[in-house]
Amino acid sequence: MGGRFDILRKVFTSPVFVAIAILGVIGYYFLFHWLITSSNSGLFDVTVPIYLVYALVLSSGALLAVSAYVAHAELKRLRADVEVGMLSFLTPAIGGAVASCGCQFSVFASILYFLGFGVVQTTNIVLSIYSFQVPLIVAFIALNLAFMYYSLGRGVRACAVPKRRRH
Amino acid sequence: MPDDVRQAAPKRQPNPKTSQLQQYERAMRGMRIITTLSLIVGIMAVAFALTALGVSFNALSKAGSAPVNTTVLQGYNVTGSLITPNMSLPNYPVITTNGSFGSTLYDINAPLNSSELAVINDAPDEYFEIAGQMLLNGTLNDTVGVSTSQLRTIPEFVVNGKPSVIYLGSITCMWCGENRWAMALALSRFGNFSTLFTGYSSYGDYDFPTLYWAPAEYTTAGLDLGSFYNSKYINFIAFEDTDPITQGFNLQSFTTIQQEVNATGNTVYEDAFQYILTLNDFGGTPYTIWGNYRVDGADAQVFGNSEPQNSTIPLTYMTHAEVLSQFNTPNDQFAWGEYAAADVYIAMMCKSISNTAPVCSLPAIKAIEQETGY
Repeated sequence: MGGRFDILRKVFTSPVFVAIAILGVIGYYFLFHWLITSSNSGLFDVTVPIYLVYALVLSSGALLAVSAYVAHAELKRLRADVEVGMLSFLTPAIGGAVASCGCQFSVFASILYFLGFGVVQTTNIVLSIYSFQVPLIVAFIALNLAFMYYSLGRGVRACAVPKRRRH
Repeated sequence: MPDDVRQAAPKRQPNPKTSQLQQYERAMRGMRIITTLSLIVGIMAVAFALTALGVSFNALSKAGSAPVNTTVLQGYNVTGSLITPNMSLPNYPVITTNGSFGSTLYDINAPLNSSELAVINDAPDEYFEIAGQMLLNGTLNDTVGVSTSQLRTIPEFVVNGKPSVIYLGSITCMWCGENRWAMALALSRFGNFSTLFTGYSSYGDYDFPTLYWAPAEYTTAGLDLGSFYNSKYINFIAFEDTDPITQGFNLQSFTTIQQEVNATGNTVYEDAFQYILTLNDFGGTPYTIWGNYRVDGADAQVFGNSEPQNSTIPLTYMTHAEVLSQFNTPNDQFAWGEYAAADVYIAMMCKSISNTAPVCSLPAIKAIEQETGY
């Protein structure tokens, strides 16, 4: 954990990566806002506690910054796994699709219809998702934190000084 | 060090290989920075591209572009009686204690008195004309109208030789709460209500004043069917889902709703709900059918006399008396917005009944029909 904390400290004391985190928070909040308003005829109608929304976009922005730092460190070895960074946008995107008034279905319903689900199955599935809005947002926040922990672990390995061979 | 020793010692020359290595490391550092920044830009670009794709797909899907087209759908032509609900529900009495705005249910389920009902039933055509002209010349403050993604042309649901307005909504839903004002005004042009009831949207959906078509089961999950509407031109078939009004939006599953409809034994309502299922495009409440037109969602965003600000809806802070007073003598954003929203529905219905009702001869209604292509 000490190694992870060091990486975290390096990320959030670096102006570059703090800027990336801020960019991520702003971008992801805008994305979340867009998804909500596009499903609600332009009204930003969020039916989960707003502090959960803030926690979601903040954790996503932080995950983006940590992923960028780890990718930057791993590039020294000419390899960088970027999938965790990509995941940082999925949680606010899916969060934006579930966090509004369920009276106007979001893109989930359209996808289900496209996949051939009938109206009964579609409404049942979508309404079930909406009934678990708050637990889902909390789960997404936890997912961001979990991926951040995983990414920090990779950062520790990427920054480790290789042991010298003794002859 | 003595000068003579210093002079004798050869100067160290810079190692060319060391400076090359430093240049190489600087270049690599620069590349890593560029690569990392590119990664960030790439992630954000993918995020917004996928979101835009999803939003566009959602809009197309709601317009009915994907699943079913009208050449496959068959209209319904049925006979039977409509449901007339009870005038009161003993287990869901009128609440006579007042509360603060945002958490009040004062007078819920109370029938409108005769003068309140007259504001809806006897609204002058002139108000609809003025609002319609404001809609046409773009001077309304609110967004009124049905986007292409909300609208779908469908065969009529005819009952006893008359085309139908079908409504599927929820007492807990804010959009239904706003939309019922416009619907009531629109329906009043083709017939009249012998009674309407005081209602609210749910606490979690801003608790603003609205009308109910029938007394609502406001503390339990259920389904209220029918209304007290009569018309020689059209039918009004209402499905109102209910859930505890002190919580947020909720809607029962369609499986449950269909079971509740079928339990009534009313063939008109069973067929009407089956028709909704056949359309296979339910995208949320309110879901209304006006003759040949299915409208997904409300046809307006009219939430009071100022713009909603995120978590605050101005309509929450109005009483029913204030709303009806504004409808009675319209001269503000809210009243004109609702009359204009009614005009949109009137135009759809006029097209479906071949303009046989007197309201259809209003210049504004004709112009709306023409401009929208109804």
